[in-house]
Amino acid sequence: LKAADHEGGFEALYARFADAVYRYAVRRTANTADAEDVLSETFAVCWRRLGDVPPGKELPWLYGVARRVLANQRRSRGRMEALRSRLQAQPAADPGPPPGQDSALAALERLSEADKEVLRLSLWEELSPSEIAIALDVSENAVYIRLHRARQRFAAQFQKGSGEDR
Amino acid sequence: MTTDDDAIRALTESDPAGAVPSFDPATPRGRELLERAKTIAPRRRRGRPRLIVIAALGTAGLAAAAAAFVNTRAPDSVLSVVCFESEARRVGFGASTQKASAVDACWKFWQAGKFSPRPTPSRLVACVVNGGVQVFPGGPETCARLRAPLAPDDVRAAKELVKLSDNINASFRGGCISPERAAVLARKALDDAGLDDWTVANLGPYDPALPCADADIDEANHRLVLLRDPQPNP
Repeated sequence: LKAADHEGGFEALYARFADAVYRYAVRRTANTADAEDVLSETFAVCWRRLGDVPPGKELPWLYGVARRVLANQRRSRGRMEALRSRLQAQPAADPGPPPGQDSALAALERLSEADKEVLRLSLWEELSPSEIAIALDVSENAVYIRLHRARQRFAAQFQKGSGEDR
Repeated sequence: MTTDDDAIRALTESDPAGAVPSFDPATPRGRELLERAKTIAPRRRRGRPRLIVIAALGTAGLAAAAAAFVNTRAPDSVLSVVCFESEARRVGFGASTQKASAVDACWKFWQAGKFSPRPTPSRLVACVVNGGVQVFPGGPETCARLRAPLAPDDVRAAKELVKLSDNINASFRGGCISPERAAVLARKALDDAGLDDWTVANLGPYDPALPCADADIDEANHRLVLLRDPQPNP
């Protein structure tokens, strides 16, 4: 790509998908400042790898990048925070169940990260299985299986929470 | 009795982003984040460290950066630094130093009015961020906010910490790393960075649900701390 085409193509992607990527990040960071960081980092990767963005599948590709950005942030940027909090209050007791444990969000939190992510991509980002496959870099068949199992496990957790409330 | 469909519907309706205002990329903040993305993009290129700082200059001074990086085959004793206007606005200048601290290397840009009309800050601080040294207005709390170790004033020590940060990022990315494997990687990361006087402290605590380890730099105590990774099998 010529420089002008590269920049134009990139800015068009940003104009079209920045809000979706931002919301993806908000859902996973619960913090708008962190979400802005994820947005910038995700589009930084996009700027660098513009030629790799699959036409027509830009958004799931961006979600896949954002997912890795979040994972890297947890590692590299979260290190000092984790260390400091750990050193200040060691040994930390296991946190109790979150407030409102009967809620859907609390039930979601009790699932594995893999289950959570596939459910969020399906229900909140409203991706199709083929799009989720791009975001997670797995086969479409694997997505169907993961989604099916995650829904079952989520429903069990949700009902368990509802039952405990009675 | 709730059905599976009820549960899924409840989750769909619990979208945390539902109450968050839309992000408008055409606003000044949206444009600022766009420029930030372009600015930081080349910084992560591995194996081409000298391009890192030049590309990080963004709109604020390519010529100055080019001058600073004429010697692209700089010896290992040279520390490359990016001097940023602020934490929020990552636009700045590249510098290299062999003797002066990273902070001192950046003062010259402020004193020369390169960040005008922004007033000269009362203090600057150098942090090791993502395998590089970045200098911002502010004090140690700025590095803490960025969750980054403070860069030592001594150039050689700063380079060692940068190298350690790079080594950790390379060794501890992707997959679940057992505490035993983490201890080996941590020792190697320290040795490769020339920090053979540093120790490895394996604090965990690990459990079957969270069996993976991650590493943190405890620069104050000259040790690499291994902790339970809060994200199992990311």
